[in-house]
Amino acid sequence: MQTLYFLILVPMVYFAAAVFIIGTGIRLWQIFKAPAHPTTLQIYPQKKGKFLAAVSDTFLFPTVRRHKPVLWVFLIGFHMGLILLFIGHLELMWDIGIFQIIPHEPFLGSGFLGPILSICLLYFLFRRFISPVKELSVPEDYYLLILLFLIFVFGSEMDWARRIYFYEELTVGDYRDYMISLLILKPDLPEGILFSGHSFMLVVHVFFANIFLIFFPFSQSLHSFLALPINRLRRG
Amino acid sequence: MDQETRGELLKLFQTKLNQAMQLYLETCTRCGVCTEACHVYASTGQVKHIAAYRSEIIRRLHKKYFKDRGKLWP
Repeated sequence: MQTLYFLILVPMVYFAAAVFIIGTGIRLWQIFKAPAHPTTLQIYPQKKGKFLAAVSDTFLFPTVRRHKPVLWVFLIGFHMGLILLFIGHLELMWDIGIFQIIPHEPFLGSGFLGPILSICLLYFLFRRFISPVKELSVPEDYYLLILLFLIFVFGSEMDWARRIYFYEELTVGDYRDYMISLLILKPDLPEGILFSGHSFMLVVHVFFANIFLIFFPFSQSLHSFLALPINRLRRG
Repeated sequence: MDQETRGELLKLFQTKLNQAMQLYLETCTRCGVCTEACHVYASTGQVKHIAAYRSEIIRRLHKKYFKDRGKLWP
């Protein structure tokens, strides 16, 4: 079993990271080397600060807010949550002073971040079972949402174990040692990660995260890199 | 459809694959927000008129014939 844990926590992570970085790089290069559109695709009405308008469209979704306010709440909750998740994982590796403006212990969110993201994901998933979004959806959409849901649930579980059940065998220090060792290319699995009874939660979390990273460059998840360019195109 | 016609149609399709087209193909997450803006869908109620549905037809062709992924699975 420890061999399986090692394979998922070390070689598979490197493989997933390589596919993610190289795959995304190639996909972006293929898109941006293509010839530009011969005419403008600017939408009406024209706004003065074109770049700022594009940034606003990308991060605040004003059109969705106007037409589907409920969806907008979940979209904002989800995307803000993703940014906080990213910061939370950075804090698992290093103490970063600027993120301690509101003092907190890693992982940030007091255990609420995972459930908020999971609820948003369930909303996105269930609305795909209702017409007309049902007819627009393809299997990949359900697959991605379920995959992300599993990543969030198992990730949150690790946080809850420490906060709610005071589970001490797998500490933030263990996560930090593991992640830093991966980063400096000298992989080392602390005893807590390999042998504690709870470590399978981490293994399952990392396994699903690896699958997501491998699938990322080939899926619509690429919109995270392309949303700003396309909004710039629309703003002229 | 014979092979020659098919080849010509694919060539024509490729000429349309500029940067803007690819951005639209890769960015749409089929969230369905565009249904609200479509006056044709509002009047007919037919899903095939929604912009995301129509662009999905183009995306399937793009996936199948112009992406490596299309060779592995649909």
